[in-house]
Amino acid sequence: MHELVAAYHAHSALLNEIGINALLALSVWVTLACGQLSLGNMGFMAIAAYASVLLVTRGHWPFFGAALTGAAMAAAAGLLLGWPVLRLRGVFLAIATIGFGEIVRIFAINLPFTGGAEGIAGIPQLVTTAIIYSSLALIAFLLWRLTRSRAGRAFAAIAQDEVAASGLGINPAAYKLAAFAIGAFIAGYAGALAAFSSFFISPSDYSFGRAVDVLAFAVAGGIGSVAGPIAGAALLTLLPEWLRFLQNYRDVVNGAILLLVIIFLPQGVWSIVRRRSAR
Amino acid sequence: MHRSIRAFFLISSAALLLGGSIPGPARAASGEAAIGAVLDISGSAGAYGDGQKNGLQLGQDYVNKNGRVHIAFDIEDAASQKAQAVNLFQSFTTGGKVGAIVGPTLSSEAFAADPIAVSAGMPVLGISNTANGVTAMGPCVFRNSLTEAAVVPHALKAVIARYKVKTAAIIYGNDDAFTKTDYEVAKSALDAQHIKIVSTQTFSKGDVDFQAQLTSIKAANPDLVFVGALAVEAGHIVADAHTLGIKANIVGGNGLNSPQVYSLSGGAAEGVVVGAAWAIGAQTPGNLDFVQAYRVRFLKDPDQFAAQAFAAAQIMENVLSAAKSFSPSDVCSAMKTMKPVNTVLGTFSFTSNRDASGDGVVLTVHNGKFVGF
Repeated sequence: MHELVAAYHAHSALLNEIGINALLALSVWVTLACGQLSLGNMGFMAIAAYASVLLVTRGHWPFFGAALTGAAMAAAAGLLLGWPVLRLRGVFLAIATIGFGEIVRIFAINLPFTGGAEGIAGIPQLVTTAIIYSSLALIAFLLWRLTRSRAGRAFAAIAQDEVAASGLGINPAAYKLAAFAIGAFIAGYAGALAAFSSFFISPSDYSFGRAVDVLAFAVAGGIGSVAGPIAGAALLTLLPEWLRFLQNYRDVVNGAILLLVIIFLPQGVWSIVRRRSAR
Repeated sequence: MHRSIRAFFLISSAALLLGGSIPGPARAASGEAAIGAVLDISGSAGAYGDGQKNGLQLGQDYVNKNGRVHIAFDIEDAASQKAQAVNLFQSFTTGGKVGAIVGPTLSSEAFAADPIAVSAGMPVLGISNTANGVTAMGPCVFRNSLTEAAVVPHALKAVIARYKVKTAAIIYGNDDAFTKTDYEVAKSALDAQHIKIVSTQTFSKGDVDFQAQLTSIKAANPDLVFVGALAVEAGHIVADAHTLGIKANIVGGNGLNSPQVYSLSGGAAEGVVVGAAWAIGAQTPGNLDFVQAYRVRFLKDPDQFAAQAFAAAQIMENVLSAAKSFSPSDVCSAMKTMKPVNTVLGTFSFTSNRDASGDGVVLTVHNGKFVGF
């Protein structure tokens, strides 16, 4: 028991990071489940992170009020963005959402109240590991329920073939917009959790490179189920720490493992567990 | 085939997820003072961390050869990622093996990671953090890196005095903490000297064409142009200014203290004045020996980051030989009472705010080399 407590104290930051990355992976997964490749999640994350930090430090709001308000603002931004860009498909949608993420980042650099490129330091530590994992459990459960619901079937149908889905009486535009807003809300909430567990935020935390990392969590874990993105986030967050003993070769082996996963497990790492349990 | 690969992934990911095998920092041999070092050896700041790693390794050998105290740096790569720096700080502070932490490379990492050391009472020695407020985070957060606030006013003052400057223009990157600090520091230094700022221009990281901004600056006809940029952008700015025929004196901070500025500007950097923490030709104690040893071992010239890392080893040598024990609290109190130390950066001491004291050096480019201004 003592060893477990000691291990927690030594690695709690890593555990928190896994939980937050899992939420981000789920936010990408929601749009992917509806057949949309959106890379604007860093923009939503930044909106909620800055909003919640400013509400708590300047407005003296309680944490959950600020975090949920920030996430709601991100979802509203998702609806506003989704309306025009969901006419785009595939790689065009991806590029439009990348543009959105960059716009938010440039705003964060230039607005008078965000601290500019220097960011905001000294953010109080209001988020615990328990908050992160109970949030993750709740959101994962709700998303799992969603996949079993009418809306979830509609998402899957749209992802398979949009034209055929609309032939079945499904309104693709409405469902796609809903998926976009849900993804934005989750990304925003994860952004607030990240801000209040890391003392410091700056615009460079919300760069395009990070959006690609999050996409890799979802794809490497497997987008066939809710558990896939969580497994992917855990694996790809732990891997660089686990491979530390390789020193200079760490990034090479990390990349090679990712490559092997994509080649031999195109359904993601979670597919191994699924196949085992199906037997 | 497929099944065995699947089994391999299953086993390895299970081992990973159970998490029992995350290696902590290595244990140092008895009698040695173990110091953790969190550096960005890979990733976007890898160019800085590489020099820092080399400087620390050279410094460790130097200190151990002196024999006053035995130091073992446990150098870990944070890959230019805030989260990895935080994880490393947490393993070092909870591992009970190291007496202090050197690093992290970036100020943005320091703002996220240093609070962990502060709450654990672990002393931190920053060797490249230049942002405002880093040492204000806690009573045991120190740095040996001279900030822009120290070197830029010093360089501006020297140029203003020599060339009877009346007006100035500023061009700076507004999306980077370092270059934005450059702007703030330069503006207040120019205001203090009653120099009129006739034009202020901005650019973004990664820009390569500065003709538009420099054309406006040329129209304002300043006596001096202050460049708040990192080496690559600065090289392009100096080249463009030369092409446009701007005759004003060009002045910059630590970001311009790189041979890259000269090579990228195609020789147009001749006469540029730079305020910096360290110069390769500086006559500071042991500097020439350090440069020589570095060239022999790593087959290249050391940069300012390597010199500051080497100086960190020299500072820790003095601190540890004065400390009662190698425990974090004793190391911290020894750092607070440290007497001035001879380092490659010059005679070094901490200010009451735990920052590096001194004005640094003012350099100018002459025949493609940095020499004293």
